[in-house]
Amino acid sequence: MTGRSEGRPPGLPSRRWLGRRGVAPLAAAFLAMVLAASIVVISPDAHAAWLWEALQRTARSLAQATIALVLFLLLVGCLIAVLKAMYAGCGGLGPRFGTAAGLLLAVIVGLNSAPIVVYVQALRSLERELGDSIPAALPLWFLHGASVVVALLAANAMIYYFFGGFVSTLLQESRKLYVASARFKGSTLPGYLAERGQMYLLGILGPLLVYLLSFTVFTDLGLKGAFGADETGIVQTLFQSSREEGMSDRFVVFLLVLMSIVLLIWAGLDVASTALERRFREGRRPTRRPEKGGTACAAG
Amino acid sequence: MLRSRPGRDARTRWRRTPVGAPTIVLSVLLVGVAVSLPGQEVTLTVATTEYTADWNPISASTYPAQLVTRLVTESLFEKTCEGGGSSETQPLFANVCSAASGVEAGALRLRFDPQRCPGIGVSDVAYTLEQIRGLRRNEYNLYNLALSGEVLEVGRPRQPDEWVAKTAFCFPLLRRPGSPAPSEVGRLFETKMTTGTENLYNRVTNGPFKVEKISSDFVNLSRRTGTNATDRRVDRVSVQYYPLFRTLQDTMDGMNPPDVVLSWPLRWEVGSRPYQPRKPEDLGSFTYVGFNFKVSEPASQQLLQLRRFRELFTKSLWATRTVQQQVGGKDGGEVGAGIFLGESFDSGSPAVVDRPEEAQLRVAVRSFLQDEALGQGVRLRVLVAPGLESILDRSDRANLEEDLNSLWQPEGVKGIRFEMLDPVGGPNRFMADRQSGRYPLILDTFIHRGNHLAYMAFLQPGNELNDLGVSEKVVKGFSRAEVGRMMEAGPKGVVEFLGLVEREYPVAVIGEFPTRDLVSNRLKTPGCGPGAQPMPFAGFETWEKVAGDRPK
Repeated sequence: MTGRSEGRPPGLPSRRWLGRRGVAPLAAAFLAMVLAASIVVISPDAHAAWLWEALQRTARSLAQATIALVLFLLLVGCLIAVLKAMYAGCGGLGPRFGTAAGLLLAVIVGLNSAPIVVYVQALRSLERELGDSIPAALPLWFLHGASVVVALLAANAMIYYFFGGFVSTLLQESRKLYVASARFKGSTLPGYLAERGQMYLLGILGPLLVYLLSFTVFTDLGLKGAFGADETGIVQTLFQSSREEGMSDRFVVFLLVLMSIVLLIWAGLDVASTALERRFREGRRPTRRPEKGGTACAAG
Repeated sequence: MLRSRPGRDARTRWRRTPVGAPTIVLSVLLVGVAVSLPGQEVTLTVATTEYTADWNPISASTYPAQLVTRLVTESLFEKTCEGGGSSETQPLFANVCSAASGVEAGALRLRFDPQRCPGIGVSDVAYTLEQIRGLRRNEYNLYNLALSGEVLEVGRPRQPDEWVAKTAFCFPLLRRPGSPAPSEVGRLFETKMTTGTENLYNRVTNGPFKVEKISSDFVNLSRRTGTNATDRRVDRVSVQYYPLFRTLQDTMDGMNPPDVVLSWPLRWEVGSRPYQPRKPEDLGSFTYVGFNFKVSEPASQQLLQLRRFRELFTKSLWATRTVQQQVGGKDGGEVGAGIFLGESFDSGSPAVVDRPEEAQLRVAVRSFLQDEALGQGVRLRVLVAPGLESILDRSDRANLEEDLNSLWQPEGVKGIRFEMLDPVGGPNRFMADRQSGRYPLILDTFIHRGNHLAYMAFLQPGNELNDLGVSEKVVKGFSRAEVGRMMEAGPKGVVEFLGLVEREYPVAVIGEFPTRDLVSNRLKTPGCGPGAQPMPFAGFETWEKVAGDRPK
């Protein structure tokens, strides 16, 4: 019998801070960085400055994607608050919840239905129309960054896709017996569903970040020069470099640097996800008490 | 009741009031930021849609690279104005490093101006010529420059007039690096200039600006030394690449428009911002359909070698709706988008032919097809260069294809089918496809920068610029020696060369789609004589930005 796994319920994640799932991306990230550095050292045409440039461009794109991601999560928080307000308080989720969720999804689909280039062009038109009437107190880098984030958030039904998945996950979970019986155990349905919702959100953070990162190619292409922005991000640089120069050393080094950074973040999110899952599975759940302001439902 | 001491009270108040240590630190920081704000520096922004993978100063790979080279390197002479003739106050050429202005029979005895170019010598010129010769596909090689002792000579054309000789002497000067020289400095022409080569670049150059940061999509320059210029002088230059025309157009109308826009097509609107157009010779080009004599397919190869086919194809190209509409009226004049050139290559050349009537051509093409009796239907694919997407759009290319097929597929005769292939990649992919020998026809633009020698080299067998594979075997009269003789013969040689082209049709020249540089009205630049216009970035040391933009 191995001592470590003794007494651990089946399927419970390991206690190690870095699970098996986290090791693979971390190793791949390390390998990618070593390969990039090797090319820089071996190739006579390559320069060490490429690594720094690639890191800077990656950081720029990641910062934009991360801000968009944070705003997305805040938006999800607001939507959850609306859904909670629609929850009747006892029993299942009910028709009010279903109607509210349906309406919210319809609104989001409407806002997100156009491709990203439409939003980029709309922002450029806004820049042209407002022009010098925008207060000089607003720095141009801020205006450019805000435009990028707005365009990324509105990109191609992204919010609909993830928010729709979130709602359908909650609906499926609410039908399960252990959730339906919440009120008989002195708790509420939102308290149980919160765990599932948090797990879902944590699970999609990685794909969502990569999704947003990949869409920076459109914002970089369309918003180049808007509000005086000169620099472009890593994805657009890779796109342009492959188109104009083909598979050059520079392209490979930039790609490897991007891979290593994204894999590192991916591994970090995986570790956080594993830790949260373990916390839930071990029973240290955040709350099972009735929500403040909510109604405690009597059994029977 | 105990009373606290006054000093202690004061210290307590000091701690409790908002005017504490954090406030002081914040104030110092704000003052520091205010003092360090780049209010004194004037940045000039240059926008381009041309991608530059290599900014090497002697390879002249792109127009933006040439401009950066112009700002970062020295030269013997600088072309200041063109067109309209010169005046005493505004000469066509200004001395930069050369102290001697007289050029006789294409020869210049090297003497340098120590004020403008301190420390430069004959050995630096020799080093520059070594590097230029190292890169065979280099337009500075067209003049065949040679250094004999302290005398610099133009080898081609022989004994040129002063204007041609000084044009040849406008090449960028490099500084010979002192020992120990790393290998890449010794063979600079082999070095691809991109991120990480800033120090190397600055080591071999000593122009008014130095490279601060270089990348494939931007270059930032800063003034190397202070001058006696006013406060409004340009201290920094930022060259920015825009992948899409549309995006640059939006930026020109936006809050922070660029000060200079390079090679903006004539057919594209400028927008609401005030820009002054300039069309230097450096933007001279012609668009053509080239017969790719390196094609591997035997049937296509045989067809291209028929002079009669080349003539009929060229004329039928000129008779199409697209060419009629996009490159001017029948008189060859400028009508909006372009200028019809015919065999002339150069809008400055008077040899512009009339385009044939479609009805006459139909008869001639039918007769040709009947005589040749092509077995199976022949398909000729036309590879379109990526740079032409913004000039000839998809509908233009579709119309061109339709018109050519309508002419070359008459009823009752086995004809030739033309197929236009839209560009799918960048210039590298296009060059690889072009060299592969799979495509018999190439639709592309050749940039000759107003240099007759450049388009003669384009058709000279054995020349690096001869991408189409023209040789005496496939086109009568085009031998290396014969074209070389014409290149050396000066203006007479050009006339002779154009006559040969008109007889043999080695390439189907369509016309020129003019582009021009746009210079913002906010810039105060040196003027020229009446009718003349300044060369791009001429006298850049004296440029001033009259009205600033909103700060970044």
